[in-house]
Parts: sequence; structure tokens; C-alpha cells
Amino acid sequence: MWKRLGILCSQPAVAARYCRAEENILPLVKTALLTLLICSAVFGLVLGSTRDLEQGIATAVKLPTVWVIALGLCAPAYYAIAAILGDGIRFRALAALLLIAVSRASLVMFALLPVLWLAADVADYHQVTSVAAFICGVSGIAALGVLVRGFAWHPRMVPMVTLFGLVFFVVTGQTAWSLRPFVGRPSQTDVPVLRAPEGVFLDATRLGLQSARGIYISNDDAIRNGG
Amino acid sequence: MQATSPPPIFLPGSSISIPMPAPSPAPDSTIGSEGLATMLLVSAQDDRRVHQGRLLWGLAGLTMLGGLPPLALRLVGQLPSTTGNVLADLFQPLRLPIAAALTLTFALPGLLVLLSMLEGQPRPNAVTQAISRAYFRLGLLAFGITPALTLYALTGASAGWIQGTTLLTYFGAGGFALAHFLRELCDAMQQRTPAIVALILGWGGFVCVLSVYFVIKLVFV
Repeated sequence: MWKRLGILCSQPAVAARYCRAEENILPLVKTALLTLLICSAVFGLVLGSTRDLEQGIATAVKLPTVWVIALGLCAPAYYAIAAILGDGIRFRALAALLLIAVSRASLVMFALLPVLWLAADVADYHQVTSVAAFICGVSGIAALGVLVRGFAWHPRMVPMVTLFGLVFFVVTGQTAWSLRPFVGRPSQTDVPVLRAPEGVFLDATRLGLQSARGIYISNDDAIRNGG
Repeated sequence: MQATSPPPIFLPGSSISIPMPAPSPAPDSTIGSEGLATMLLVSAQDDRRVHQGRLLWGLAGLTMLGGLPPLALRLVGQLPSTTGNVLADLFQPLRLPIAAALTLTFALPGLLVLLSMLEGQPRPNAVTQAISRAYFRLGLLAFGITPALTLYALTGASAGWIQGTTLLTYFGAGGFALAHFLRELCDAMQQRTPAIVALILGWGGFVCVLSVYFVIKLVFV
């Protein structure tokens, strides 16, 4: 177990090669899955606990769920993209590579938990969510490191990795958007475990960017305008 | 590649360290055996099973794209559970694969006739290979995108948004497949004059128009 954890932590190239060759990957995949579930659940617990323990437990369940659903939905798209762009990776190898990449990301999230905890203690809601988003971004870089090492260098890697990132963004974003709230706004007295569906997250992102520029459109207006 | 022993892991709060045994040598090459999709894509054999595999993947991928997101919309109540016409409900997932097949094959005999007039005979079987590869590419991309689209359909996207994105996926993947098809057709020519290349490119433009026509006729009925 420690040996495999060491490979996940410090030897992404070796992990990628094991996946690519599909050699003894089952133990590595099991360790990666366990790491992913535990680390992201702990991250969710700390993030949600900035509101209360009930929200913390809900987020501890929802965050690993987001990862697992997103992985399951991204894998077919990644397989199609890789095959179309001429990389002959097998589905099994790709799924293992993805799982290991995300488990490495969750390890980075786990490592940066003290930062989140400190922010939760001293900062307000918006700052905490910004810190959490920043940590997720940093962990994404760690995941990308594994993914890139899984493919032999070729100019086609540039569009491939770009498309991987795009698919990951739209799939994970929508999954997370559907399972929100993860923290819950402080102004709300009663935070539900799951919110009712409210359009797609890409529209919400657009509205958020407009709000950041000082242009405020309410959700109702956006829905009426087809957003 | 030489396997190196990783550093030991130190347990927090204790002086005990767990020595890390060296992992078994990792495979030298990053390229393992090829996946099924790539095998089907790169195979140059004029094998019936290869063609069947490509056509089945194409059919399955496009049927999924045409069938799963609307089914998800029905499950969440964004669309009525049935149109009242059983035949139309059964036919609906098959609209996209039929549109794609018609788009690719409807105008092809004309192209071959015109090519032969310009003395541009393609290599034997190259056209069959190019057609089955194009259908396969289209279906494979559709297969990859469908799970994400289904997620969006299940989690709050409107019916119009899903239909628009489905068509965007279809035309995007179709454009990609068509570009590769035209390139393969050009490569398969025994002689390639500017007139032949211009004819193939013009035919590609016509196929784009034709694909829009078939989608309007078959999907928006």
C-alpha cells in the first residue's frame, strides 16, 4: 500500500507507464480509488464545515461523488478524442490513467487542507470559496502531470490535452453544479442538501462573470431570456 | 529504464520510517497494445470484419447521440414522455445515423463518375475504406460526447439547449470526419491534378450543404 502510494505521490511517470502497459495496474487502481475517496471526502468535510457539521458531512459525500461521476463521463470522450487523434491507448489503460491522475489531484487537495482550514477560520464566505477553487486549480495541474506523461510526445498532444481539459471543465463543472451547495451562502438560513436544477453551469458561469463586472442579472431574468 | 528505489516514507510524529521497496521495472515504452478504436481506424486491410466493426461503431455512436439525451430529457420531464406515435418514437434515435449515412453515400456515385471523366480513378477499395473510416470517426466522437450531453440533459439543461448542442456535436464531428475523408480520397488518387483536387473540395462543400438538408428533413420533422 505504502509503495503504491509512493508511486502515486512522487513517481507520476512510473504510474503512467504502468497504466499504459496495463501491467499489474489493479492494485495501483484500487489504491488510487481509495486515495481519491478518502482525500476528497476529507477536503469536502473541511469545506462544508465552514458552515456547520451537517453541511460538512453532505459535502464530504458529494465531493467524491463529483469526481467519480465526472471520471465515468469523461472516459468515453477521452477515449474517442485519443483514438481520433491517432493515439492507440486502450480504454482500460485510459480509465486507470484518469483515475490515478485524479487521485493525485486529491492528494494535493489533502496536502493543502491546512490552507483551507485557516481560510475557513479567518476569512469570509467568498474568500473561502476562492481559496477552495484555487486549491482545486492547483490540484488539477498535478493531475495533468500524470495524464500528459501517459502519452508519448507528439504535436497532436496539444489539441488532445486542450480537448481533454475542455471536456473535463464542462463535465466536472456541470456535475458539481448539479450537486451544489457545497458550502451554502451565509445569508441563507436553511441550506438544502441538493438544490433544484437551475439550467446549466456554463450559463451560471457567464452570469457570474457579468456580476463580477458589475452587471447584475437575476436568475429569473436569465431564465426568461433563455439563459 | 533503470528502476530506482523511492525515498522512505516517514510516519508523522514518530521516528519510524518505512523503507520503500523498489517497484518492479516499469515498461520501457509508453506505447502499449493498441485500443480497439485505433485498430479499426488505422487498419488498412480490406477485411469485411473491419468494415463491419467501423459501421457498427458509427451506428451505435450516432444512435446513442440521437437517443440518450432526448430520453434523459423525457425522464426529467423536459419533454413529453411520448409523442403518441410509437413508430416516430422508435425511429427517433435512428435519425442521426440515417442522416449521416445518406449524406456520405448519396452524392458519392456522382463524384466517382466525375472523377473518372477527369481520369482520376482512386485506388481500388480506397473509397470503401475512406467511407467506413469517416462513418466510424463520426460515430466514435458521438459516442464520446453523448455521456456528457446526457448528464446536462438530466441536470437542468433545456430541451432547446440539448438539441442545439447535439446538432453542434453532429456537425462538428461530421466536419472533422469529412475533412479526413477528403484527404484520404485525395491520397487514394492514382494521379492528382488541380482539377481533381478542386472537384473533391467542391464535392466536400456540397456534402456540407447536403448534411444540413438531411438533418432538417430527418431530425426536424
